[in-house]
Amino acid sequence: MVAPPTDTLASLKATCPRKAIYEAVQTVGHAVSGRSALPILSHILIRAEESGLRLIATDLELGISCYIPAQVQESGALTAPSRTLTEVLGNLPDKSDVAISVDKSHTTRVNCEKSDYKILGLPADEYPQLPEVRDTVSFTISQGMMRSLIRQTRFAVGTDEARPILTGILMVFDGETLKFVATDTHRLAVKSAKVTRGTGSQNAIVPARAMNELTRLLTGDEGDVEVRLSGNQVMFNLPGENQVQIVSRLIEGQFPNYQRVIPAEHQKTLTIPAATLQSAVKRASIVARENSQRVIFRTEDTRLILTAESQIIGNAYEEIEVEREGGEVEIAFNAKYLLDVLDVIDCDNIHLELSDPLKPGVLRPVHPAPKEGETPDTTDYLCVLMPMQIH
Amino acid sequence: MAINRIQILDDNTANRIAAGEVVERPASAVKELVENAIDANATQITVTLEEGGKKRLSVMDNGHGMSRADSVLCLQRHATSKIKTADDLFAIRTLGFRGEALPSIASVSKFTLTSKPKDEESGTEIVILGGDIESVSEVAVRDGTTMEIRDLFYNTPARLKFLKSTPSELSRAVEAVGHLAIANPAIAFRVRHGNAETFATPGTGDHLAAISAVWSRDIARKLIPIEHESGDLRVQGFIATPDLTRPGRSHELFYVNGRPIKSRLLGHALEEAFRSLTPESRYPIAVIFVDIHPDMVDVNVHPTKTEVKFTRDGEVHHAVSQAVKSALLAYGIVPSVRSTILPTAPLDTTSLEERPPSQFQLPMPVERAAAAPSYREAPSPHNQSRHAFSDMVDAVIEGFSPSESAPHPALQAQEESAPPSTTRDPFEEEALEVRPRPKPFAEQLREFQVLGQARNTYIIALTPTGIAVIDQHVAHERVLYERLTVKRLSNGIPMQRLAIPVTITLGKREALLLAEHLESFSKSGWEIAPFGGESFVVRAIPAVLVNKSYELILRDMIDELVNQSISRRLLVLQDHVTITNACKMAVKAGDPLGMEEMRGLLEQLAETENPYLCPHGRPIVVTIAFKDLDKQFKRA
Repeated sequence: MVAPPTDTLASLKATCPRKAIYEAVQTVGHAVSGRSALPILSHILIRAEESGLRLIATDLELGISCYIPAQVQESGALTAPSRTLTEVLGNLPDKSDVAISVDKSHTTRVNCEKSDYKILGLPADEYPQLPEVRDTVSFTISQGMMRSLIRQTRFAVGTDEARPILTGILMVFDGETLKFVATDTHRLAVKSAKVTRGTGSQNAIVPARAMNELTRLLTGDEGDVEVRLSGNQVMFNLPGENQVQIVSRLIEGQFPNYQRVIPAEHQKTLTIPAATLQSAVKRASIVARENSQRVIFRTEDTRLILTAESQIIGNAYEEIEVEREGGEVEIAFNAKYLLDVLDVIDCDNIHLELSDPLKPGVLRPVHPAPKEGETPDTTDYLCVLMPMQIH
Repeated sequence: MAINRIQILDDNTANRIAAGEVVERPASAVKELVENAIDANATQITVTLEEGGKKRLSVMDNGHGMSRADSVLCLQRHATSKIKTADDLFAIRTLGFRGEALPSIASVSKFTLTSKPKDEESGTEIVILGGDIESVSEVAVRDGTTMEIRDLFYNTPARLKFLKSTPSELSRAVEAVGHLAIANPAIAFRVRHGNAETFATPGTGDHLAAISAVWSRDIARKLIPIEHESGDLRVQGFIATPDLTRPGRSHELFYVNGRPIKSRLLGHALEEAFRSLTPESRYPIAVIFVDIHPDMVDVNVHPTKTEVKFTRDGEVHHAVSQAVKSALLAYGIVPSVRSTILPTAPLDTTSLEERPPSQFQLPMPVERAAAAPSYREAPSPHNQSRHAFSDMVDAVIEGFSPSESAPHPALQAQEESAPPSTTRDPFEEEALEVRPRPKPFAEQLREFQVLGQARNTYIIALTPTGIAVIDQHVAHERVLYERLTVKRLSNGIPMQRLAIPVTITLGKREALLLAEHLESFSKSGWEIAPFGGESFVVRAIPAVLVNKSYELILRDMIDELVNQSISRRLLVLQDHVTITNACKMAVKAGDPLGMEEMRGLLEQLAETENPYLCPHGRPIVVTIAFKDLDKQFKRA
């Protein structure tokens, strides 16, 4: 028999408001692996820091850490299974304080008013360290801007595990501008925005999951996100007193040359009211979804006619007044892809740039000329949609 | 004045007439030549075909070869090395014996024979045009015999016009060689069509290796050995487990003393053993060798020697049936399928178009399914006599149109060869018991209450009468298959273009096959173009695949093409591509499904035309009746 480890880590004693630790457990809990071969990865690490606790969870791909102020009676660290801990903390009396401690057998004790729980854990020193991200390239960007970068591109991220490169968002930083690119080979979304400040330049493919966690945790309007890149890791330092950090492994490999996908020129441009188009496509897709989501766009002078048909359901017909430059249009798109981009494009009118029925179409927001005193919109957004065809 | 009208035909004319009996198409010519090669103790036989053998076919062997005199003689009618007297006819142990084949073939083609025995310095080349010897010359050739036939039937236009399309002739020819290759595993066969190798057997003496090369690895893996011996009668071979079946009898091979034959008697014996194990209108896969004393079999029944007569056919029937049954029992196959809902629908993918959309088949418990043929309107006289009965059944199941059908094997065999009394009349015990009309299966499916998922593979559901286990993969496959087929028939498959075309690089053989079948792929919604060498670029994919690993799916499909059994590989691939598409797109065994997903899947399944079988012919639903459970738990 091996004697239980007698390291100093295996002792921690602290008290904090239940709400604070519950929220922190939820914040980091998303990084806990649902089905890992390593039991410890289903746990959360809680470590005493000066006048507070740091909670850490990781599945070795993604790590999240979060700080909460606490009264630390005894320094050290503990681990506890994420699910049990979250459930216990979530159901303890609302405005109470929680005392948390651990004994030599790695059992975590959660004490709150008249409740007393002992939760079996694992040795804290076995918990994997979050990787160090020594910044070679770093920049900061406003929370809101980061949110819209993610929101306007992540829908186009691929889900095909056979092509892992496409399951992330390509982040292109050139020292001044941050550009997000995502494609699943059927559509491509590109959004760029100015950073607040930054140094260096680097391209990195960030797994969609890390981006989703980032946008989930970016809840405020104040403050900038700091992004650090090095080697094969990216770290996001979120603003706020919780000092939330997200560390993710980058996807390695060569992202396809997305610039080649964006048509250099086009012969036809339609200017379409975005909301009208969105609701028309939404309705047409009721029929189109039974036929691989195919919606046909056709113009007659300044009318844009949307049709869809299905053997099972019937036909759909929609008409929209548009402005048209160049010849008449006939092309088919996937309704879902249209809706994905129309959902996030955020503007009154869009441009749809087209050439021929088998060439990609490009959607861009039409930014109204800035009014007096307004700063012009410096962001740049486009979404390339590959057409569908019938033969 | 009387005119003498009758004259004796010259040899050439007689040969041409005989050719009509022996050689009807390239496949039969190939068969004759390959049999000769086998009889010549060859260990390597290479068959080369051009345009399905219509333009050119050659058979090259490394057998013992012929001397010049024999070479010339073998082209004479009834010249043979294999028998000498009529008595020998009853002791035939070689494949050929009549001495008819070569002169017949030579009389209707441009024929070249080259041959050299091992112990001679040089060989002989004989060129024959339409039966006339053009030249006999001395040539330097390798040991063995090569026979080449060009322009078969060039001088008999009446026969020429009966030849079918190249793929069809090719598939028959390849099938004919395949059957011989399976029977002769010690001979390394190679079959080439144009530049492509159709199959090659290793010649290791292993039957399974030969079967694997001729059919496919997948089939070979599913085979179990059979064996039965009684007296001087020996039955051995392989059968596939009943979950692997075929829509026709193309994979029922019988050999008597090494000779591939067709026999209703043996077919009946096999199918009888499989009865109730294979779905209706599906046929077992079997390779069965019957070794019997030559005394007890007459192969000289038919000019092509594909039919035989047994002197004691009851004994042979029994032996085959026993061999198959005991193998099925030994491998534990029989009990496990006792309460399967057996489909009664034929899986006839080619005729989906013609089928009435509302066609409906009754799910039946096994014992009824066994009698199912009686419900069919089969054009055999046997069934005619039962018309009153089928009318009655039709009245009972009125509203459900029976599917189109072929005469049932059992019935045919019964009439023709009157097999022994072990055969039960399928009508006698079971069928006359008319049960209350069961609900349409689709309706039953809607009543299924999903209980959960087992091993992320099976959906377990409660039915009004028992517990159903649904294979999620095949269920989904069926749903997708019908969707794809409907689309194909209506207005084409919607395709999604790719922003970033995928380039795939394949092996030589795969590339060749893909290049041949680009059109089939294009009909199924793939835009694929050659990209130099063995590379292809994929520019558009079926729109239904947008959220799937389409590159993997495509590669799997190509793999399947390569591993397809020869006959199917050569036929139009459309359906196969659709089936594979459906299969690859479907949820897999091992995919966890939510309750909603499972319910949705069953609903979709209920809407399909054939919710019993997946497009490959595997069952979708297996039920355990409460009645059976009660019995097993001894609840009276």
